[in-house]
Amino acid sequence: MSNLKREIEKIKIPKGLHERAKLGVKQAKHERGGKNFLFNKLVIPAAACVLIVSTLSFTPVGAAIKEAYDKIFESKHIDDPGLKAALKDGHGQVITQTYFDKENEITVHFENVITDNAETKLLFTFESETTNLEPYYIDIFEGSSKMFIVTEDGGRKELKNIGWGSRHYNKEENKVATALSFDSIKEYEGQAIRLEIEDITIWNEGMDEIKTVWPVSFTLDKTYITDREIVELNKEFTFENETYTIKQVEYSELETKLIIKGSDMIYTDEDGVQYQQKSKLELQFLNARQINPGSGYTVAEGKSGVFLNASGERINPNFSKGEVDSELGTFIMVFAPVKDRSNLVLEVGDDIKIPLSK
Amino acid sequence: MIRLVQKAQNGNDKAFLKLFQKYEVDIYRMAYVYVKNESDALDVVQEVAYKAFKKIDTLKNPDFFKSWLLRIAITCSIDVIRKNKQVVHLKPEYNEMIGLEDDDIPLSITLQELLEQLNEHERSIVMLKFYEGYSFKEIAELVNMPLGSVKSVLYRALAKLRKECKEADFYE
Repeated sequence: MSNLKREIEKIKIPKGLHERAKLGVKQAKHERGGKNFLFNKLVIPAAACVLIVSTLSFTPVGAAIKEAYDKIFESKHIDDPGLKAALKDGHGQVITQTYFDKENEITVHFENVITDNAETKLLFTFESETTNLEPYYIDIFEGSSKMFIVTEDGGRKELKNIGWGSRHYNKEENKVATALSFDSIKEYEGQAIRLEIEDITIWNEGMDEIKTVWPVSFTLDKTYITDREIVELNKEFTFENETYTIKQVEYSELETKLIIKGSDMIYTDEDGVQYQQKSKLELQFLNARQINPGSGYTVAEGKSGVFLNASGERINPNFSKGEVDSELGTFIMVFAPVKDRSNLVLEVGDDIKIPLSK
Repeated sequence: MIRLVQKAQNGNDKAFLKLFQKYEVDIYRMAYVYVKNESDALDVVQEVAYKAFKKIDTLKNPDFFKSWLLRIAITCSIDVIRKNKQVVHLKPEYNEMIGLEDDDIPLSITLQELLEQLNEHERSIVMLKFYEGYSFKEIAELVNMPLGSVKSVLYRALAKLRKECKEADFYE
């Protein structure tokens, strides 16, 4: 498709282009005057103070099992609250294996694997003394990277992504921490298996790839596999004049998933083709999302959104699970896992509260 | 770049223009693909510069400056299209705008096909993917569409373009 780029480059650039930009700025400057800028100067240090306070307030809970793998996966740099909760509760099978990719001079440390009947999390870090890893991703979501499972009989099967997983790059150490999320491998419990990560995705002014395979072999221990409970609900509510139905709630140690249908989830274009569109509910859900470059998404404190409330405890959205594939007209809303499932309430904005009991 | 953004946020128009100049060609081409004529595309560039400088204090992360500008460009372009809905162009101006130096055209898809065959959604997503090199995730953020829909729109656009090519081959 590089010819498409070349075609677009054929759009001639008129001589007066920069002058038009200048005109726009001149107009804005004229209207804006000086007052707002002074105000902004005062606001910026105030915002910086808030950031420092919240960083100091963050105190990860300690547990003996954590020492077995990199603590980065429980830190604020990983944007998957479900994964962090599962690790804190001691779920997951510690792997601790190292693989050296000689050709690319990258050392890969496999740390942990967690699976239930819907998805698998594979936690690993990779580092290099010679290669700048900042643009290096194991992107099985939309990059060139792929995930495979190889069984004892030599069978090799691709495992598809679930959500886009979490990634954090530490510039000082030139080290990437990745929590991949893909199809469940629960059916292989008790078996000796090999997971193979195929190809590195380079995101740097467009996408590129490096051919490689990073293998990790282990016997999947059944004691670390968590279960999933599904509750059919069919509960209706209205938000901003649109009607939504909570079809079902899925509980697991990794997440709480709500399957929702709505009256404004389908867009039909002029050719009559239908697409999924962001509903008012989804926009409300995303309203509380904060993008943290290099570390994915977290909750923007103080902003209105959609949350769960479990007996008074706020359960946050898992924004790293955005864009989980769903059928047309359905939105899958993912939150952190909940322990107390008896008194769970969905809170949309400040006013709408829907008990998730039957 | 971070320093330039900070300066611009403090009201320094020269810093802003220096930054803007780096991306104005991309903004112009993005606008052109939407509005299909030079005059409107230039209007969009001016409007983007106006809105961006006015609102630059709302930009939280300087790394997102380009994406932020392109998002404004998309909104402004759609506004222009909506305003122009009643206007009928007898002869599309882009026939004259496309360079005549087409010696290297064993190209399967032409700019003209891109502009004529695709609707505005499809054009912008093709632009963002193949001209700007954005990932699907980034495009979904930019055009505020679910990622699955972005993929569907892009694949459909490419299918349309391929179909056009096949038909053209048939009649040759």
